[in-house]
Amino acid sequence: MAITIIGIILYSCQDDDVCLDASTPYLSFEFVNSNNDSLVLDSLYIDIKKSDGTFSNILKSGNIYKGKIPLGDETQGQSTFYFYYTHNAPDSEKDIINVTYSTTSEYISKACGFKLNYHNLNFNLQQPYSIQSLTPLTTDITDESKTNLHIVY
Amino acid sequence: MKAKQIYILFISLFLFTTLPVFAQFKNTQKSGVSEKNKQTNKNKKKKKSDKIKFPEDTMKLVHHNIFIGADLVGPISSFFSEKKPYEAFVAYQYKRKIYAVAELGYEKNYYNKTNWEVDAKGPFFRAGINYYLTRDQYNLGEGFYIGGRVAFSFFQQNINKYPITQFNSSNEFEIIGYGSFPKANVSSYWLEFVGGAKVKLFKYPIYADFMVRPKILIYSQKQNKVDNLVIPGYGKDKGNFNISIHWGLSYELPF
Repeated sequence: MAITIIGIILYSCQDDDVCLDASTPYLSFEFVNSNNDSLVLDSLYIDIKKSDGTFSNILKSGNIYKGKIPLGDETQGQSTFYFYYTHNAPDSEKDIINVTYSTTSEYISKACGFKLNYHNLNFNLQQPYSIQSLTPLTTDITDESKTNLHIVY
Repeated sequence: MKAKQIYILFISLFLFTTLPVFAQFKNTQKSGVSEKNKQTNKNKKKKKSDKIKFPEDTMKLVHHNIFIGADLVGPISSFFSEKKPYEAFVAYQYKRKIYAVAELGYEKNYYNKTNWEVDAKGPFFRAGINYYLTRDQYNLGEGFYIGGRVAFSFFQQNINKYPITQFNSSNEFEIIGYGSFPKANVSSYWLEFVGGAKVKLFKYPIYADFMVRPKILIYSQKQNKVDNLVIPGYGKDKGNFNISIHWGLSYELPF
């Protein structure tokens, strides 16, 4: 009888299908001025240029001193971001940042699948507008514990 | 739990609870006919004044029963699903209440859920003992037993699709891509506990077997650190613990 009861309990224990662990990390950045002091922007919009050429807004905020953006999946090897400061700004009034990278995939769990880790990061200010320069802090991103980039205005 | 699992569980529970009644009934009937001289290895019943101790427990075994059997649920259910499990066993009576058991099987199964597609196929092996808790003195094969097994499987695994994931800006879980791996040979090792019953059918030396087996996964040799999601002889998508129910038939070899 005891075995049957243990059996009932174990039989109904299905593996959890909810992912509770962290997965593919975002790129974290902070804004600084030329003296390396923290800087707050009044308003910021960030669009990502997708592989089909269309744009998708991924950040829209005011009073912001830091943020994070997704780098994308391994098939691209690079991502381009448009930073702008007024709602309908023309492309000539945007900062364009290009990031290139390579990826490795790492197993987390059955529920979470795999995450990507980014390596050999290269930051390129393709078109400056308000941004003066970029100061990378890492060349690899495996989690979101640290800031990866300082953006100098 | 799915309806089919509940259905199997209730039928097993029902039969598991009614079997003791059946076995007891047979026992009381047979103990009354102690004068009958049976051909197989039998004891002389010496009645002691205080308690009746079956002298057969202390007698050396002259004849060792050997059973061979096979699982029935697997082959039958393979007609209804793509899972194909086959399993057979040999049980050798080592001492009066102890049987040494070796089990062998082959399973082909798949896991196609939550964005994964994994196939596995390969053999599995188990070895262990069964210890009889109840004895029918005239029918040594019948009764309730508990036991344990050491088990392992070496199998070929094909991870056809795995999900690459990320939490989006609203903190929702998302799939951002897929990957796959070429086929690989992996293995898993586990322990099983067995609670079972064996009942003789009719007059022939054919027995029905019913077993409940909780299992604990001990170690897996993995591909790219991915958990073995489908393990022949153990189960699929079950993590470190599993329980299975077995129905089969076995045959007592006439030695």
